[in-house]
Amino acid sequence: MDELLIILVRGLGAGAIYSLIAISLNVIYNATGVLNFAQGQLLVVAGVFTYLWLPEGAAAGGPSWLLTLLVVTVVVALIAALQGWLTLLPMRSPSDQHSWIITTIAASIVLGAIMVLTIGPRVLTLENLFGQFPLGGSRVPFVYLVVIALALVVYLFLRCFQRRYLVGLALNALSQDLEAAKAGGIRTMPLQVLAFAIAGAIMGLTGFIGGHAIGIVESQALHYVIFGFIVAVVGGLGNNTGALLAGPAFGLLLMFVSYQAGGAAEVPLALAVIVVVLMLRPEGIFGRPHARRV
Amino acid sequence: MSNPVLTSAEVTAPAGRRNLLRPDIRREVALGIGIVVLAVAVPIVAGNAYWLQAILLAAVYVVAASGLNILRAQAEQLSFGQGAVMGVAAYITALAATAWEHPLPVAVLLGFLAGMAAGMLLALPSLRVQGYYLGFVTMAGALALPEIFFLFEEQTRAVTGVNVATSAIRDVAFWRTEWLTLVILLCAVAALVVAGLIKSSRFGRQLKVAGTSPEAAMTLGLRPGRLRLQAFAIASLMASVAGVLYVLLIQYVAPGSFTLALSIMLYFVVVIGGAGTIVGPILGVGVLYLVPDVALASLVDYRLLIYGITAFVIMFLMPDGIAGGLRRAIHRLRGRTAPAATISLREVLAQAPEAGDGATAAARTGGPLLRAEGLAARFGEVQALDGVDLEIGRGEIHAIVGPNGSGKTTLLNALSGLVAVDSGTVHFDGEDVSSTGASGRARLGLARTFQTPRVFADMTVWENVDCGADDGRTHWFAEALEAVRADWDELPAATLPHGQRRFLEVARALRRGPVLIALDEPAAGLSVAERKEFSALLRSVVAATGASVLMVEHDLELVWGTADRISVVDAGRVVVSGPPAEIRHLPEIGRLFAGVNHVAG
Repeated sequence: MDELLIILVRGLGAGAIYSLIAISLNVIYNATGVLNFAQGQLLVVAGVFTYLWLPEGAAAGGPSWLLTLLVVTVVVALIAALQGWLTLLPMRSPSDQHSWIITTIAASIVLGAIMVLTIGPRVLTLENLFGQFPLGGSRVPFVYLVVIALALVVYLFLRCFQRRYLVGLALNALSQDLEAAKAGGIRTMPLQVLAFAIAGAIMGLTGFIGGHAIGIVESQALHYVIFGFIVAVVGGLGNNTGALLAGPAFGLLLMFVSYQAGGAAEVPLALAVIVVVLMLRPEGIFGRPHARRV
Repeated sequence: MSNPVLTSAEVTAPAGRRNLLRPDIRREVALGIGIVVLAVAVPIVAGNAYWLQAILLAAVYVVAASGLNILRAQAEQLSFGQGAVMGVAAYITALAATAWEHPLPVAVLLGFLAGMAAGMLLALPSLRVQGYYLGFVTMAGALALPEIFFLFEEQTRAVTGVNVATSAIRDVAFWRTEWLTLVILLCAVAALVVAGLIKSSRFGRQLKVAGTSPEAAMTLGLRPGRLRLQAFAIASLMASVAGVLYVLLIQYVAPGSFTLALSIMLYFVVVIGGAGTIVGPILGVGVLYLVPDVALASLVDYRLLIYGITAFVIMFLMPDGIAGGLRRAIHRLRGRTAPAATISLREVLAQAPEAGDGATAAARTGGPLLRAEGLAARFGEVQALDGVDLEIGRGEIHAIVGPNGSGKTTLLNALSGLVAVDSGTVHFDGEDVSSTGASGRARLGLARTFQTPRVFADMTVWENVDCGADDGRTHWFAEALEAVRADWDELPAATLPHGQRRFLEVARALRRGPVLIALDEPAAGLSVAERKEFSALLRSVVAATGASVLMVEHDLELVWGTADRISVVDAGRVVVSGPPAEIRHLPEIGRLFAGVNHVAG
């Protein structure tokens, strides 16, 4: 029983991180049609920066903690913006054939290679700054609850941003119809780069705040992005509400199965989830079916 | 079923026999074979075992990448599972040869079959999802494979890996050359030839059509799902062969040899090398494997950095890959610009047999060619079709007109089987086709064109015409087309102006000998002269083939001057139907045709 409670908290927390990855994928997808394979690597990069830059003894909520949070978020957002700009450039060529698949994976590989060259292929463990709370005779790090809160905050912020602000509305217009937005005089390129930056900022925040809950290692990057994609698909690609709900459900399932069958069962199970969802409901559980255009 | 349009049952001799490989593709295959043979021969002559081993592994990758190339470029299926298929074949071969104690030939066969099975498993999602969804699913599969090996550690020896003993295949066949070297070389050459054959064939074009536009494929009688599975089968076959060769060459397998990184590299190899080209996989393997892994082996720490940046830079400079970029550059150097192409159907239609052959006469007898009753279809809140009744006579040009959003195109889609209706029946040529899908209806002789012509830009005009299902029906039009085949095979379809693309689509439809041709806004985007020509074309098509024409059209002048019968659709219902002369004074017509001057007079 106690173990189940811990699985519940940890599963929901890990799931909230998948939700955040899925939401950041959605932000880029809605503005550009690109699924950014480098998104997982950006999360790892954020963790590495946190490891390198957070002063020892900094308390959560303290000035040095807040400053590092700001710096990590901004720097990862800038990296994402640069990566986005580089991804979007060749897509303007008429002979482009989904070059983004190559360029985003290549960006992930290059970022990973730089990390290995600078800090080596080791797993970084981030300090738990949020303390622990007792649960059923054991102690659980608070960070799992904090990332759930973070997912909610990011979700609400995006919702508000895309409805209240002109830039947010313009981004929303891109997601409705890219061609029409172009024809309507919206300069799409800066907005699309902005979408990459926002997605990068989300990963920066997630890596900084939730870094303790995940392994910070370059080789896990593709796992993170694929899990994030699975959550995005289950929630309906482009649909943040769906991603917010699907993440914890997915995290819980993974946590429970790896508790029962060992960690090696995690990825095969994730594969089974995505295959079943796509076979039964390709538009996702929360997505709306589209009438096919002929 | 009697089909009045068929004039002869005998099958024309397959004209493709004389050139299984198109001349330009034959040159490319020859170039590819030359590169591979040379690359293997040089280290043998130089006696450099290290380089020979590297080149042979590169050749193994070329086999797997050539298969993926067919899947990616010919069938337009996004798969990141090629390395996983290779891994399953390799791993099972190794286990069968050691733990299960089978002789090597048996082990190779088992490994090959296991690879095929894994490949077809990865192919199943393609029946349901496409594009990046498929990419991510196959990627998840490739990511899961090493973990699955670890899950069954006792059976797979995942922690230590499996050593496979050298066998007779590594004996010297002649002068410094092992049998294995010959086998790998042979497989690489075979992979290039198969790629060339598929690219030259109608089957290859069918893959292309099914991948690019499944709707168009169905209206040509093709079954896109089956074609996708066939493409996956070919790709899996090459990956399985590559997996078996890998074991024989490296003599050791471990889960770490077949991670997602291998699948990603194979995908990169295809796209960076030049998707859809024969030599692309060779160039890709050279740039992404031989250079960073072997030539720059001293910079091993920077391997991934070099690899990633190379991929990035090439995508920037040559969006269609190295082979595509080189071809572009050569064309520019030669100053070759493609002329604006024109095609004419007039000379082909002029070869129509005399009307006395009975085709037209037979066509006028019997019941209506198509009868739809009570068709209803709802999309969410929209009742697109609300009980449509429609009859199309034999040899009749039937126009459907109506305001935007009245359900005209949905009606066309429902009749051709592209949209499933909620209720109602369709009888076509005396048969109840209500539950027959689009490709089944196309096989019964229902052809269809689209509002935006489905023209495949990287094929020639002829290839665009000759990409439907081979259902063995021959027909004078198909035979008459042979006269223009050589000319049309010289014209790249990409150079066709819009109006010409319409004619191309009509030619493609007619080539299948249809009894009914459904046209969706055929005059949209045509010039005044082209509209006149198109109107005349429709008339002569009906006269020459006896087929009926059903068109949805906004150009009311064209409709008024061409159609034998007009049906007015509004809010998902047919409100008026009849010959132009009978319906011209009805108020519904007046409202709709208000802008057309000569209607009143």
